[in-house]
Amino acid sequence: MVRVAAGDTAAFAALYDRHHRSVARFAHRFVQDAGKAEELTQDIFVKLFRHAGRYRATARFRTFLFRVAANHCLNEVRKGEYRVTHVPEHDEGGRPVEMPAPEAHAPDRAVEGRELEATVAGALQRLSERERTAFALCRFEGMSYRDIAEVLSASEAAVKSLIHRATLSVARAVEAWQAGAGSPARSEA
Amino acid sequence: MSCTVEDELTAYVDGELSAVEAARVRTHLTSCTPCRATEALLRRTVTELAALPAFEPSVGLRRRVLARVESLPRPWRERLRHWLRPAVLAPGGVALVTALVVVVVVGQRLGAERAERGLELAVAEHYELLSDYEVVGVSRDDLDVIEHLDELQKEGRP
Repeated sequence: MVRVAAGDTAAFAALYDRHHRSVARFAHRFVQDAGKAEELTQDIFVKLFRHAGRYRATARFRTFLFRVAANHCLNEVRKGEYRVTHVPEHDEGGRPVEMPAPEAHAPDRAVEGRELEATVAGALQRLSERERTAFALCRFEGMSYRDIAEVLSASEAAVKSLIHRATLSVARAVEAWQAGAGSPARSEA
Repeated sequence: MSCTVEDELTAYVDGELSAVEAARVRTHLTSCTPCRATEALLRRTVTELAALPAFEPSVGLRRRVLARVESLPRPWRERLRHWLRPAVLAPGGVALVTALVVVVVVGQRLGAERAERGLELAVAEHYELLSDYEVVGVSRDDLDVIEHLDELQKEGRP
């Protein structure tokens, strides 16, 4: 990162290769759209390059990276630059919407996976931005509560609460989808 | 659900509680059916989420990001470092030394030429006088003769 701060593009490329998937995955969980997620990822890495000098070796790089990523995603969504795509999860009768399979004879498991994905995506969009951020970092990036607290500049107790509400909300939505009826739980945050 | 422990269940499932807190939750779960059900639901969901396919960014994204970074103005430290690289510095040093040698050699040559030209000008200026004495192209001995010409004439030497 010190080399990146000095403008070393080769070091930056190595950094990108190592971390871009995590950042893109995080951005995708945020906006639920591949094109927008790539735009956000691009902006995040350019921002990282431009502000690499602000990185202090005392901080864990991954925490620093996701702090940049989370702040950027939150700011862009708040500015209205990116409208979060709503994924319809249930039809008017409360039944899960079936996602079209790419192949006519797709295995049931693949279809189920897509439905689960849509259910989770729908549940995520009903969370507050901070819940969604904490949830994505915990569930999809495997970050500890302590690291997430650093990313969000929050206390560990606050993060524990955010993750609990978010996970429970998603769990209820998945449970409802698996039961084949009922409306998903809504976050109170 | 009114259990105060419920708020701890996700952290319990994630292994984020201290040993003391985890023991307290574990004890509670042995006697609370709703909390056990919630714990099971959370565990199941966490496992299912881990199995979801991850978004894979396109290959073109790398090219776009690196192109944007390359187009940014370089920080001054990097520009300075670029100019101080041996690959840039060595040829630069050689060029500088060569230039200095050329300046010195050419300078010396010009100086010598100028001095020679000065002598030529002096000769040209006093050519008439020197012609009178027919000394143009004469040796040092001849000059001595010219200097003491009167004395030599008196002595009757040719």
